[in-house]
Amino acid sequence: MGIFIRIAWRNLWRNYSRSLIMIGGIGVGLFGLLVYYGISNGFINQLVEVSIELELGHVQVTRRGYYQHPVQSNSFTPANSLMERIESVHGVRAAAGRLSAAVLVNSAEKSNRVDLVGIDPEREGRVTSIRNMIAQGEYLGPGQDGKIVIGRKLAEHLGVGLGDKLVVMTQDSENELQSRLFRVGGIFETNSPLWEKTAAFITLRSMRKLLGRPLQLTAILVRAEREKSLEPIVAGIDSLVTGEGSALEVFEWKEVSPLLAQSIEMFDFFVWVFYLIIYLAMAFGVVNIMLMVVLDRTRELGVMRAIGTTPGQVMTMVLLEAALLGVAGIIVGGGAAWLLNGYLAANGLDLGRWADGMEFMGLGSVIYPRIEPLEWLVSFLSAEAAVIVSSIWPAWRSAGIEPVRAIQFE
Amino acid sequence: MILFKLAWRNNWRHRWRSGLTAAAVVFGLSITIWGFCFTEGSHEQIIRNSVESFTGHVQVHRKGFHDDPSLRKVFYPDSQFVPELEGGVPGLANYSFRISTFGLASVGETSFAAMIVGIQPEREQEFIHWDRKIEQGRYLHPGDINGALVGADLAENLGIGIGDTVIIVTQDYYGSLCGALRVVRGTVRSHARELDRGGLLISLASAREMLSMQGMANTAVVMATGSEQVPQLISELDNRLGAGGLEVIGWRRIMPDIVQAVELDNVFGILTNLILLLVIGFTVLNTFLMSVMERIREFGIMRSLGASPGRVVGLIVVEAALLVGLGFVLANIVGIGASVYNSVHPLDFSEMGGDELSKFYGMDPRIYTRLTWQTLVYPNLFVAVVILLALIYPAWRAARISPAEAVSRRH
Repeated sequence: MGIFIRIAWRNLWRNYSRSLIMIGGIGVGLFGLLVYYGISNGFINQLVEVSIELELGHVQVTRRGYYQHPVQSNSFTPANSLMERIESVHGVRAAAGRLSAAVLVNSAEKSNRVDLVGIDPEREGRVTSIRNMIAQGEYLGPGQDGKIVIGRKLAEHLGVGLGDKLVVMTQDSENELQSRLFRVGGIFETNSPLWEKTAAFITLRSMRKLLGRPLQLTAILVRAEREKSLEPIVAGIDSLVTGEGSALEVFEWKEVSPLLAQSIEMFDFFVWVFYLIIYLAMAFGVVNIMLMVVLDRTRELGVMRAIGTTPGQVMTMVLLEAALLGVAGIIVGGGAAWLLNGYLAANGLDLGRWADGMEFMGLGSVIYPRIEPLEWLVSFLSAEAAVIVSSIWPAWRSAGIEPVRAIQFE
Repeated sequence: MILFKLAWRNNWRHRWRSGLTAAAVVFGLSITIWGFCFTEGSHEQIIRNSVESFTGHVQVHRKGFHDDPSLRKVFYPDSQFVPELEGGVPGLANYSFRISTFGLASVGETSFAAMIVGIQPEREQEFIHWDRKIEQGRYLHPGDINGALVGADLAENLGIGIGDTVIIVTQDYYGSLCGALRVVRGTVRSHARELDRGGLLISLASAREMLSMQGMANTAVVMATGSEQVPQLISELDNRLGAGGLEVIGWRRIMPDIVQAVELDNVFGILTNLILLLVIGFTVLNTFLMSVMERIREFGIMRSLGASPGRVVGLIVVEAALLVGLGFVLANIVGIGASVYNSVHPLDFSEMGGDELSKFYGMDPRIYTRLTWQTLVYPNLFVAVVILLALIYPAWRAARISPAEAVSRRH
């Protein structure tokens, strides 16, 4: 075997411009694939992070049917110490209750529709990262029932700043119209412009008072220790709440947000198609070059066969040459992608020029590309496999060379 | 002519190589053409859905309303708008007036914040064709002051049905709280995102009464006779209405977010296609460089028989043109064929479970490709440039061959 690797390696450099072109083709293709993958993955990760970090947590407990019909009347009264019991489920880091409703927020001059969320400031701080997003003023403290925390975009839209008054209008549990005055205590900034425009927070206590629902919650958000294995947690919490015969249900974030799940699915599909197309394009080049290699060496291969090399060994040698070219291409293309991806992951890809367009897609304007170690590996291995598979046919042809004819070949 | 004969024969000398190279060009170019038609089709759909089903080509407001909307910024259509349009405006197809504001609406136990829009039912029917967008129930009858239409997603999310009574609470023109009862007549699926997810339509007369805005409007929606007429229509309307304190805005400014999203998607589309074409370019480069390298002796002989370097390069270029030209022709046939096919038989993403996604982007899940001269010219141009780049080195290499050296060289 060793000798065939040596022959293949030497053959590679006999026509180095041809080899370089092939390495270039494979390298450019793989580079493009990886950079594209990193950026698209960055888009998706941003969507996922905003959703989990701010809106959904990893796992939610709600009343049955809340997500089909997310209104305050679909709230529930948690059993005593339910929160503590959820937190004792293996793998759960923290849990926090929320009471949400769609309300109208009015400043002196303008009004806007807002998803107002009543939070337990201390618990919420352990589950979502709203606390870390405060750019101005402060996060809600215990007992700060007259304060409201809003997003930067909403503040700009309503024309209010810290300490300004806002009137919240909504319906209460008796269907009576309620309006109450709050003062802006904090302004948060996130990577999600949509969210900055539509979400606002007050304390759970004042939300319960406003809605006239003294004990209710619309959701309990749960943060897991590890993002990956959520099924056991869902099962664990499920056994807690169904045990009481209550009307609650437990979901992981993917089920709650079909839009997000579909975005991920669609992204996976497009990536798959793009990989397929690029590998096919590479295949044209590889088949072309390997055919030339075989044709150029018809005489030589015939001599090898005549002195006892088996067709299988000839085929192996040709495949090895292609495999070595593939590795070189992967080193070049993968290396360049590694550098660019690393730079962009550290500094961010600023698409501020298209900020409004990104907002339309529910995204902030700076993207941080991301490729997991396993994804690098899969890309490298699949590219190598594509190269080898493409050279099977030329290699097959080389094995079919008849020694006598080949030696006479000029 | 001899050049063509030579070139043709040379291509035939390496049937496999020539065939594969032409096939690579067909593959890359036809995919690029189809891809451009697909993106163009989906973009056109997003924009058309928004323009034709809600925003119109052009909107007219009181100056300053667009940048900083407020219910106080109104105009009087009967004195400020209609008289100025007398004698007809070239490119204008139709118009109607609206009042839009935000308010809190409740149905039964459910309350929600909604975008409330007062429309002129008969006038808008002529160009927005609302009745085709009714998912359940019916459109507003003329003079129906008590009726309302609700966005389909909003109705679905909140469980609102036909015949339900909606209580609307909002601020009126003078800033005081006002309320009204309306009955849901139908739900609307317009594919305009903001409307389907949060819109409540009532009649203009009904809105004027509720908001104490008799004779006023805050938006005029204007439809052009065709999207090409829009720029001309904007400047014409601006001439007539600008002096009266009104501002004329085209759809590009009404929805800069969609325009930018489309632009960004185009940038990514071009970049991904460029990667594909570069990979193809390497195959082309390889074929021609090899074909030059193995014929150094032959070119040397041509040179010593008196052929100029230009003639040698010419031969290479004609060879390439024949081979690649064949690829171009086939690629355009395949690419155009597939695009035309999909412009009649759309790709249906709802089968792939993309219905939430298409709703989010305000699209129909069935996407029709759209062939325009741009989706045809640009891919061909890109491929031509890539191939020319791939030809530079082989041609330069061929031109540099010195006869004496080449002829004495053993292959």
